Amino acid sequence: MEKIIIELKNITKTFGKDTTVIRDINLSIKKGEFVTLLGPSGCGKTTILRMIGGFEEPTSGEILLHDQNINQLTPNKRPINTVFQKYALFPHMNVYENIAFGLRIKNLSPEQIKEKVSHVLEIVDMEGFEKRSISTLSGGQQQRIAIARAIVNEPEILLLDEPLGALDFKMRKEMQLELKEMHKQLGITFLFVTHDQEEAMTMSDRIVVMADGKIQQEGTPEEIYRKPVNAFVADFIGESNIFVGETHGGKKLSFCDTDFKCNQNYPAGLNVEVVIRPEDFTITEPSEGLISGEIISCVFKGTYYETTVLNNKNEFVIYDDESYNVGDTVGLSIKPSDIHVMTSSNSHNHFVGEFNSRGEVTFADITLKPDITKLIPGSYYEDNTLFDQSGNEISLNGVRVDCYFKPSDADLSDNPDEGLVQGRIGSIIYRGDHYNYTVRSNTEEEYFVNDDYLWNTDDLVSVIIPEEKIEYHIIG
Amino acid sequence: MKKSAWKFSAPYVLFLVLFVVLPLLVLCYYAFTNSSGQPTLSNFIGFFTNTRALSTLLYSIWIALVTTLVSLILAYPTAYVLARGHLRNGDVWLVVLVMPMWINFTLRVTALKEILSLIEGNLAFHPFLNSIIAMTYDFLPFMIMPIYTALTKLDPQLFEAASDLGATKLRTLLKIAIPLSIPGIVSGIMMVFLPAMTNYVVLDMVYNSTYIMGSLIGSYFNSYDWNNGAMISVVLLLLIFSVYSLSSKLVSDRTQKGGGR
Repeated sequence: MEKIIIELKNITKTFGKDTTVIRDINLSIKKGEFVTLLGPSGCGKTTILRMIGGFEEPTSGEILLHDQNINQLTPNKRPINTVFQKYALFPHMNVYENIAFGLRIKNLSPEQIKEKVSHVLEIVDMEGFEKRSISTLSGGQQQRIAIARAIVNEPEILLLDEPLGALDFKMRKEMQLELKEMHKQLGITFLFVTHDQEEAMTMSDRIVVMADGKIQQEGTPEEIYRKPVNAFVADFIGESNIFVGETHGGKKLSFCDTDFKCNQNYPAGLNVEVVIRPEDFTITEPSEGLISGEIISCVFKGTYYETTVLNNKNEFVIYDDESYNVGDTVGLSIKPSDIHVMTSSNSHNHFVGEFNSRGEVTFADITLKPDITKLIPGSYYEDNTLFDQSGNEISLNGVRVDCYFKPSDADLSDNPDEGLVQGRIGSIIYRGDHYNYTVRSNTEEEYFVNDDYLWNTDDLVSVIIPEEKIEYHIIG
Repeated sequence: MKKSAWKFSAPYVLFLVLFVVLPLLVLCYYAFTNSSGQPTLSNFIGFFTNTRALSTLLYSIWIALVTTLVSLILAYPTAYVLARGHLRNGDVWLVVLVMPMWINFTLRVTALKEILSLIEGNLAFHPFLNSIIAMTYDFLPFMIMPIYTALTKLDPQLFEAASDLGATKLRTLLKIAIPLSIPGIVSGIMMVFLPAMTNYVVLDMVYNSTYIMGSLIGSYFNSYDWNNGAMISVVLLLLIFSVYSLSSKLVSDRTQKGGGR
């Protein structure tokens, strides 16, 4: 169970000249696991599946199957089978011939083929359909035949590319459970691709959340839901309230202009993001809650009420069993264990730069000349030469330096010359009262910027960073 | 609804009646009458008892068969590579291959004649070979196009699925591509086989003495023997019709194979 069956090492995939869909991905899958690649459309999840299936070759990096590099291996030589999104059943063959296609290639005897075909038809619950033509089958039946055609070859890994996407709601629910059952029965490693977070939650042993060609988080469904590592994951997996806050040392932190306590210690002064799931709020009397606000909507959702509470300009979405009147003032209480703190990288820009001989620092795509006298206490310039406190000459050439700036200090502009660096908008996360953007330059550097204005993915923008807002710390 | 449909189709219906239905009736009238206008079957009896006429028919079929086969052998791989080969400039290659269709065919065949005489010296030495070369040259694009169209219409995932299930490229070609492109192959055959039986102008232009059905009709009409010319046209028409219905039956059998309803 613990043995790694397939491993992706530093995989990058570029289409054409400059469309990068996968950026340096590392992933290993254990034998017998049910792993789901989850992400919005265009995040690169299907491309990963296609590279494992052999339909695409990685631009760089290695795919290892049992520690053997299989980058160059064609699909027909891989012990891996795929259930295609649109099933891809052969229309000129009947059900039996479709399923037997792979077996005939292996030169099995007609009796063996017959036995195996009827066995898998039993597994997918389609006994007696051998002679039917594909065009007479419903979508759900075609789906089952596509699965049967793949598993009859007893692959080591079964790849499923959004196989339930075309089915109606009820059928999909049913197939989810059946697939999970099949996975248990067969003991084959399943790699499933979907954009439906609920589907991923229901079926998987492990979920790999992807966005923008990168893995955001891997973990069990519960880990992903309970402890999202960044705002994207929190936002993508289920409904969530995301706030920007600051830590005050120990378990104390504040967000929405209110002090709260969480159940973990953090150093003071960190800019963090806080996730609270809608079902984790308790609605109380105004005086009893940690924070209060006015109810601006209350909608019945079948098994719960979705209540929205407004405090200043912060909105809280709450799932509760009871209905409330719009306009009422209520209090909200939250258990410390339900306040999930993310010290996500999106809340800080951190680069490692290096000084050149002219006293300039180059980090990412940017070269600036910081005021070194402020960086090194007591240092001063004399005749363009730098001296330290005790009057010794210092050379900073080649010295490495940490460079920081806050996303909130940077701004975006559509004038390419206005900012320090240009790039395209990668991902967008809505943070209550502003948007958090990832801007990627053409050298693949990433900058996190907060902006009130709504830009679109792929917009060409320039990033304005006020030089005085950039912090430098000499390393060592 | 019906009225407006009639209005819109009127121009074509008129055209059809004037230039297809009426001439066909005239053709049948001549075929079943003698030179003095009396109804008779003697034209047909004459044809089927005339060994020279029959051997011309068989020879025409033979030429058409070989032309079709050679065209198919040349066209299928070409169409397959064009449709599935991920060529860098696939569209350009397609245009290059289809371009001969845009050039007036007398010009094309004259050019071919010059090339052939350069190679062979005297064209009269290889009448059969020259017939096949000229016909294939003339009709090849008509074979490539329908096959190419049929292949591009196939879901690329079918090819991926075949490879995924362990099939080699050759097996995928034999078991997936060819069976699924049969409708294209059949229409290609129709486009080549039928004209190849009658298009004697091509042969005339390469100074070929080969006598095919088209030449027979031509010579009867040239000597104002409308009855026998029309009779041969009707024979060809029936032949063509039977080939057509046979092949369309083949297509529908193929696509409905394994139907369990």
